[in-house]
Amino acid sequence: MRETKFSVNAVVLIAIIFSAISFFFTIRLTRISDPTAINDFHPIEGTDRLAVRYSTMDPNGIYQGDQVTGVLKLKGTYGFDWGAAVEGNYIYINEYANSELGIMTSNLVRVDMTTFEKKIVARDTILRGRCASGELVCLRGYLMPSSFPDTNSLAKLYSITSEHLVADGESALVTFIDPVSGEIVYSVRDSNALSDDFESRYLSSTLEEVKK
Amino acid sequence: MKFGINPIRKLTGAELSVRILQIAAILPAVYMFMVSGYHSLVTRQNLFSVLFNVGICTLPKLETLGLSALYRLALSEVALCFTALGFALVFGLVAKPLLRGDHKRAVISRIVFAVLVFADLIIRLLPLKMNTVFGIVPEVIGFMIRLGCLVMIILDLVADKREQKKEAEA
Repeated sequence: MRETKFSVNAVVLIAIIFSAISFFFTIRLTRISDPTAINDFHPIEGTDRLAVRYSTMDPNGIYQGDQVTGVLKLKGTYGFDWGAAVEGNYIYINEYANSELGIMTSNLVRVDMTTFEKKIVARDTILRGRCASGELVCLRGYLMPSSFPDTNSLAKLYSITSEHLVADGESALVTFIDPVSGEIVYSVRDSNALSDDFESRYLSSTLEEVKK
Repeated sequence: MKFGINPIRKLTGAELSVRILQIAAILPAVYMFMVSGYHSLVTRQNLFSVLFNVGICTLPKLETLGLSALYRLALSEVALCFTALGFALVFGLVAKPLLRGDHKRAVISRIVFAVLVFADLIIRLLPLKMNTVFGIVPEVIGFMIRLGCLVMIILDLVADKREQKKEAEA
């Protein structure tokens, strides 16, 4: 094999330049030209007029007040869809984060309703609701189905450095958290954690019934 | 191609190993570029995801770990792509003068390179999460490529030793 002037270094350099141009067109320009306008406002039950807002006009976050005059208290993309649990002065809520190409991750956070300070309770975790005995029921080590974790190679790379994340799109660790202390009280690995009967198996039962 | 140190106008085993590593870094970038254009590609296994898996499994495991940590921190595929490619470019630029030129430096560089590849192969045999995520087939392909790289570097050193012996005898 003769040494040529066109080296692999040059190929890598061309790949860097080509990637910069292509990512500009595929990611930046697509976002700029996205015509979707969103302005959703979802009150959190059991709080003093707190609500989660998703908007393309205002910053996403937790607002206090009504839809028109609400004041931003905590910036971020928070979920109300699978339940935000209120316990004393704290809200337990899912905080979502998107990567540029669409992997969606979720951390369970605890928000102090007085100071609006946020603390991550568990990473790569989704709060699904409360069980019959009051504990928070979460799925740990879980990537959103919209990320197609079982076929998405980026999701697999993402999961390498996570302690609990399993990028197969099916199994997850069902975790029960004491809402007062924020401590994990029970965990069970379930290969069918994402099936439709999750509610009847976990949310309708008490912790003692689940342990049996 | 010729094994040894400093053969004129020929590619040595160690230089080929560096190029293989650089090409392995380009493969994940191709997948990311395709996914950014056609997001539905993530819904099923395809040629690009296979190339991504093989490319990532060929990269040193510590680099893969670093890329994953960066991905978690930055949540940016663009940063991931440029880091992998940038690392490949810097590695290529640094390795070129080390592997060619001064004989003693070239021999030491090859020994260091061989030790690093050997350590990487040992890491790959450990029962760690990073060695299983992409599946057995890409991992075995990655292992074989890295083993091939190690053999080529050793052949360089062996060929050089023989040449030195011949010169001493002459």
